[in-house]
Amino acid sequence: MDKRRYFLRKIANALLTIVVVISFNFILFRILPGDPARLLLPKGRFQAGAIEKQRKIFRLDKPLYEQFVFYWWDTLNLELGFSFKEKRPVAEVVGERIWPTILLAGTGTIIATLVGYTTGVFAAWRRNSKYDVLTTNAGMFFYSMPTFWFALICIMIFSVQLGWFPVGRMLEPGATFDHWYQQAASVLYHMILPVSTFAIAYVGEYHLIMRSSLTGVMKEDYVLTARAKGLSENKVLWGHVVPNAMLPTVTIVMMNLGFVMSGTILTESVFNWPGLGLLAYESMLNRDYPVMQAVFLIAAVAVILANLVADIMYYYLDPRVKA
Amino acid sequence: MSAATAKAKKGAPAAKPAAEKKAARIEHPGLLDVRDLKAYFRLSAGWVKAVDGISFTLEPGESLGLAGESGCGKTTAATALIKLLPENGRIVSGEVLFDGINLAKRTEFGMSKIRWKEISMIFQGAMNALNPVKEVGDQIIEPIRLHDNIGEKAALARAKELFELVGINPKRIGEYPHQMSGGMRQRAMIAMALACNPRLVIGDEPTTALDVMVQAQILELIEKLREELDLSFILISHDLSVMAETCDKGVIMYAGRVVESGSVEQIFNNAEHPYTRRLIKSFPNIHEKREMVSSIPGDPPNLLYPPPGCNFSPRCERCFEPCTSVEPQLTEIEPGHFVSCHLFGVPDQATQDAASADVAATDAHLAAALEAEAQ
Amino acid sequence: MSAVTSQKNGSAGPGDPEQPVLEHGTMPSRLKRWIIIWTPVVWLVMTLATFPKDRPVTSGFGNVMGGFVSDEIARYPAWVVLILGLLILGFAILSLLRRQRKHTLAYALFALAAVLLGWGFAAGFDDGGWSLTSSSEVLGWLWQTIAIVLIGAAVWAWGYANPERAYLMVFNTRQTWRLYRSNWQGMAGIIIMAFFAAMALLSPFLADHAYLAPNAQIGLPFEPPWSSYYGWFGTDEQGLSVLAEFIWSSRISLVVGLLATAISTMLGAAIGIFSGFYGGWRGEIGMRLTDWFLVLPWLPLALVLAAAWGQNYWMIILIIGITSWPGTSRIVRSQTLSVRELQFVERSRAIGSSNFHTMMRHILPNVFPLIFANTVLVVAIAILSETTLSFLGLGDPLNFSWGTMLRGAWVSGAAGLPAWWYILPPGFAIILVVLAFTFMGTAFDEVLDPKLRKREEAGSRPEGPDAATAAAAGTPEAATPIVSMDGAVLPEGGLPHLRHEQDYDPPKGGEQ
Repeated sequence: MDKRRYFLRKIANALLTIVVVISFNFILFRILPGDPARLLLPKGRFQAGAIEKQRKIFRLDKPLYEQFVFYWWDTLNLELGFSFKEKRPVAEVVGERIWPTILLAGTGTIIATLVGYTTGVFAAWRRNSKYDVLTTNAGMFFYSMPTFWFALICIMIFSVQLGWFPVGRMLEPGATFDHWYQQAASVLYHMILPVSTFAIAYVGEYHLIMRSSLTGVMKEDYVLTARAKGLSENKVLWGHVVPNAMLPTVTIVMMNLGFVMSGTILTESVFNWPGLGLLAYESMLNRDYPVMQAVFLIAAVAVILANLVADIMYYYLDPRVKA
Repeated sequence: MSAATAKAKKGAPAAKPAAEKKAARIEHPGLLDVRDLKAYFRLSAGWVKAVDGISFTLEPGESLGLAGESGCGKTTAATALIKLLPENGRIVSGEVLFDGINLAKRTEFGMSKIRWKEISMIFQGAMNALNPVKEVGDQIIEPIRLHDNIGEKAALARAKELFELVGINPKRIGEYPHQMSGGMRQRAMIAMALACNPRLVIGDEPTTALDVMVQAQILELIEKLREELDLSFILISHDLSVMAETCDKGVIMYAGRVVESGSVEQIFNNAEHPYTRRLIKSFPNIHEKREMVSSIPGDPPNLLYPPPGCNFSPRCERCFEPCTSVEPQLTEIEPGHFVSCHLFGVPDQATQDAASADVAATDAHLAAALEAEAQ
Repeated sequence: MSAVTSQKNGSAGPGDPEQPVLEHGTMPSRLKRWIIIWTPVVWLVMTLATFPKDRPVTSGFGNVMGGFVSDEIARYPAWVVLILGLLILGFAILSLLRRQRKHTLAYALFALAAVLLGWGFAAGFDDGGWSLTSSSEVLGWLWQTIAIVLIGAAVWAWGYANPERAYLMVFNTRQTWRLYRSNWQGMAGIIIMAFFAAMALLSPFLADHAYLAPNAQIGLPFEPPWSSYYGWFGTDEQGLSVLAEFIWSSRISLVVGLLATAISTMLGAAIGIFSGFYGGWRGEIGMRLTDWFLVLPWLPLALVLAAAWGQNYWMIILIIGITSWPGTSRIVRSQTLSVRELQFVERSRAIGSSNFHTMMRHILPNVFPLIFANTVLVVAIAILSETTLSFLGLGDPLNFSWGTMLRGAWVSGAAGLPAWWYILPPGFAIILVVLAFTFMGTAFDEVLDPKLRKREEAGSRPEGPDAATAAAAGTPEAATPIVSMDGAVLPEGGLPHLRHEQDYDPPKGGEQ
């Protein structure tokens, strides 16, 4: 298959999936029990006629197909509705919350991948050694651990008992800085606990994945060939085993990157990190449906794009795809 | 010497200055002399005696066939020669004298100098023996650059030369294994095996996964290269006809032991061991009267618990009293023709005692190794 | 015939003294023993699961025994029992239609269906007349006891009518268990699980449910542990006993995890087999559906759904169930694809079996071990998911789970005190349970993997050296279990577990 056709097919596939997810969002909202117009209003008392007004604004009085068309139009124009908690357009709210999340999740993922992969490679290479038994059992433990519980433990030990790190937030409220680097340092300082919490579960997972993938590859004949060639153990490992073992893990890491939202919701809620995850949690508490929907859409599109990136990376990593 | 070697013409085997360097060599009959080699695997249930004392010799330029049913330890023997046993396998005793150097005692570092440079391998089913994510050319260049210490360009030129030698268009040097057909991959594998002008090439079932036409082509190629390059060759195969066609010498293995060895003529025209005879009978002979091919009844023994005495005794039609208790020894029944069978003389008490003492020593060695590992 | 001989060859052989000697055509006595042992166990589990909540051991022997015949036992909504009864009735009719010499199984199933339907109708009558959802006091314990005894009888009748299949089941189960036993992680998983399952089932005896009431303070808020029984784990932010909460939480956490997994597995297996069995556009639809659900970010979706649908455990079960099936579906599909190509499936189609018959009788048995191993792994994920949702405040406000406890600790600022006694127990319980299921899942994966199986057996079976050397040479870590997260990837060619099934399958087609 030539390159263009492969990419076009993958991109078309991703676009189709995005279309389906956005339509699913439309349907989901309308099959939820209760009046959608009512759901779009804050809980509690509201003025008479408010529902009718809401219905007009969201064109809920129009026939379904017309609603569908308008929904698409609005979504494509990034008019995701109006947050009644923040009293601002959702796009604006989401726009300012997205960067802290990218900072947190990005750093966390990079750390998790690097650490998990390295420990996994060495565990598989030194199979059944003390190091392997220790790291793999630790990996299982971290993988089975609820993220938020670890966050609570971290706060309990490092913030409360030892007082090493702040309890949460990205910056102290009302803090002012003379220079940008002071602010950056403060953010970094605040980041340490959330990022480690976020990363630790993935470290366990990547460790296990890499180890099991490597174990499979090490049994392949071409590894024996490489050894027979007189290559040193290191050259066999990094030149022949790891490149092959990486392949299946690319998809998994990219998939996880897409599902980062689940991790951030928990980490950000516990640490009060002002990102999309905390936004999702807050809007859930306030029943702020427009915001929740926007977060859901962003998360879904992120997964799809991450998958697309995985496919593209695969194309360059595995020559067999090109055949 | 590397550059010179790389450029040396195909026909003339490169001079090996290394061969003369070391004075303190053991007197040896040939290029390779395997003496009572034992390689066992460790399982949770005990030791699998995959190779249990094999011996043979190989002269320079000679080709030797190692044959037997699948699972009789042929591949283990081959990997033991260059010390590439899996993690749980180990050479328990015996010597592998290559040009007078005992490989069985050599360190991993020392082995890495020998591997591919002196002894290379053609693996079974080149489909899996070539790394799928690396270009074939790169995989050939890799050992050349490692052992001969020459530049990228010279190595590439050498690889192209090799491709031509094995009959592949050198333009395909940049292709990946999956882009080649099975036969072509095997040719590339052979090219790779010849990359460093080794003195000994071990072919582990080099034609098994291929269809008959391609098999014939590959065998022809090996034959041609052997003559041109004056290679020593060990061919491992379960197919006796392949062995008969390509080899000068034959070694028949059964359940980890050598049952018969000698020249190919001796083995095929004058087979003496009951197992060899049955094995030859189980292949159709196209030159003689058509006969029903007969298989050997029964299964090979479990090497974790080999039967006492001769390993073949439970399946042997000519089994008699000492077979089930006394281990037979290889005896020379005519010059160069060895058979391990009581039909040709039961070993005397002294030999038996020596053999059992040897076994006891091996067991003690294994026990000690286990203990050392446990600590 | 071929079935029995082939097993004799493939089984432990003369080396295994435990090898059951069975004659062809008789019901294996081991199955009888299983029925005799497991029927009371099932009865006990079902009864304990609905045991009255207010009868701790301290309330006296008579009171506890009285609990077994109390009104609360087996009060299921009428529709649950009725649907079960209708299903059994369907099976009974089907088995009656089969041309078989003995109809004992059909009669047992009819009796069971009659009991269930009778129970369902009787349970539906309440003060306000008859309704599907009500569950009045109709001696549920008696109905349930009779139903479980009849289930045991039905299995007995099945073994009696299908001795070869019964033999296969006994054989396979024993073989699997024999291998499973040697896996220390799997055994550790079972032991941990047994502990928490016992805690969940016995919670009415271990802690009085009354201690969970908002006004049942046993001390000041956030009091550290002290020596009295309910004070072992200290108190929470309201002064309630953390121990009582901890014990009762195990029930919800496990039940939600298991039920959500049941939904997830059924959906995943059905869609996976369907899309693997049918190629073409039908298979494509199944695959696309799987892919779409696979990319739905489950937690944001669950937040939307839970916020809209309200907070109770049925919703949580449903949400976890419908967001976690695509993984199973993918694995099952790829296995179905390889099983479909096997000879006995083609044979079955060649003799004109219906697609449904082929799927039920040939595909399902061959992908079942895989589904089973996967299910155990999904339970771990489902329990974590439940904990997560409860932690975010979407759990049932009326019941405790370990997730809700952690939410309580978080919201009340227990970490700041630090009230470790409130945070540690639920966290460690979750980790242990999830680890236990992961261990069990990977252990099953290994046991059901033909390659590994061969390796294990090579040691104990005097067979060809082929197996022994190949196994020895191929897998260096002969004795140590592997943790494989990719356990789902099984080699092609089906699983040995039911490879016997393939020998067994009668070449005649008139059985359905």
